[in-house]
Amino acid sequence: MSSRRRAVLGRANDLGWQLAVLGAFFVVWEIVTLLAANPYFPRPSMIFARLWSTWFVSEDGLEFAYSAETILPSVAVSIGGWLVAAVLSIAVGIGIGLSVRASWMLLPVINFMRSIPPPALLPIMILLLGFGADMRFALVALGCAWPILLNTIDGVRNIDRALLETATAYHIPKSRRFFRIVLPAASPYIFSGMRISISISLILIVIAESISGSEGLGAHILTAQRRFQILDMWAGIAMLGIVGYLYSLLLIIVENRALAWHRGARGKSA
Amino acid sequence: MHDLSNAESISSTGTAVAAAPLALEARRIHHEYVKDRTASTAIEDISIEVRQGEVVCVVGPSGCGKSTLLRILAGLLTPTSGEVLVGDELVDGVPRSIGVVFQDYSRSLFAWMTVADNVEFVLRHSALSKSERRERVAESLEAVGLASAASKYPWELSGGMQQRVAIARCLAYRPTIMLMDEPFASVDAQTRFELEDLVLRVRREFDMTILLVTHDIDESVYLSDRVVALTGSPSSVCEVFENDLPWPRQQIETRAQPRFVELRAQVASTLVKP
Repeated sequence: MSSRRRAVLGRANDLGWQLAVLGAFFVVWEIVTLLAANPYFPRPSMIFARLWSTWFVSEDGLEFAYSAETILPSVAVSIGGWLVAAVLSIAVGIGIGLSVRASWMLLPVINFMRSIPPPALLPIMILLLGFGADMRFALVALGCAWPILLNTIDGVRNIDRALLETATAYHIPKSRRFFRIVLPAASPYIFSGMRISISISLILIVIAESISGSEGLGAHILTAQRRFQILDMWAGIAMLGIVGYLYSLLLIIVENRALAWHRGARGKSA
Repeated sequence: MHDLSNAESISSTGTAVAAAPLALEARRIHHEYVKDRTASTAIEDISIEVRQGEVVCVVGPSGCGKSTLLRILAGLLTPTSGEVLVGDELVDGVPRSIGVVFQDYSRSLFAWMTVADNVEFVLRHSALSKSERRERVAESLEAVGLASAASKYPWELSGGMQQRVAIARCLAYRPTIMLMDEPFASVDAQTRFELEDLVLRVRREFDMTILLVTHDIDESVYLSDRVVALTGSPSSVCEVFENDLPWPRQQIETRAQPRFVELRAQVASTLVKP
């Protein structure tokens, strides 16, 4: 009982430290910008006030319309592209990973494709698909696909042969073997690929929106910079930070649920 | 009437085993691996016969191809030459009548499923209804003494308990032949005794034919009707010992019997060359 209480206190303590350091970070930021008095570096209190009035509540009331115009397209396209990339990469990756020969033959090609920085594909994407949402979607999906694909192949190839032999010995049908053995056994690898890709998705959506410049947070930042609205530009950057933070938080929550067994099993053997 | 039943009970204890039909037969198994373009021989020449209701232990030094042999017997691996028969059918793929308990329980149990799900998983594609499956799972876990651990995850259990789960999974599958690959290699001595007795009880209760691979000479003598000793790599059958130790076996008493000590020495002398 007392040890549990100490553990709870310890966690509360850690959280307290985290919040304290976060607070100190903002205080230092505020003081430095106040002293510097540089027009390109407004104070964080002003940045977040602008962020609040731009996307949440202003003097005119709730800012749903502008949020729908900027945050929604960015989030929808980046998450959508990431999810489509995940589904396709997992399916293809398991297929490749299950065949020693296929993975041996395809890995150099996949590694080459993965090595191309996705923004380099932006010009050809624009030629093919124009400046619209489908171009951004395609760019995000393409950039997100490779880490998930490679990790899935890795995960499948690292599945213990004993698990698959057990499935063979007990005549487990193919589809059940796929969904109940191969997929869960590879899932720790798959999740780490998805974690890499979700940050790639945000990078790519900002680049694509900055170029196409019509909608989304990337367009908001670039437009503000062009109009010399430095505070709006910084508010957009801070908003992206918040979106990115929420992405990783979401993934951690999903992972904690899906991989609870993995942590338990690893904790035991470690 | 009385005489007849009496005669039956006599024949079912001792002599009947020798007369029982073959459950599993390996004929002149030879197996080569190809690795880095050179063939290396894992199994030179092995023939084994297991009669219905027997416990046969295959004992040999580490790395002599015992696990390879077991995978061939189970139909998981096709030998370079030779054949395996279950009953009078040639084995091609894993026969439905065989259940396998693998060496490393931590690798053959599914860590993302509870104990009950692990057991039920091998029944999901059978014709059993949901309630029949549940009954079968409960009954199998009961048989290995794990009824209370049904909703736990394998990694929450000790090594010995995890191997019990693997045995329960095999029982639920209702094979007539159970193949066990060094099932107790990684548990402590006391747990090993308990699990050995569990195997013998399971054999009685479920009417099972068992072939068990081990590197432990004592274990092979304690558990078996027959011990098949293999030579080192590449392996062949070195000698077969008919084990006439009386049933039922008792961990302490059986191991103290002069005949046990004698058999153990005989098996050991084939494995440990001066």
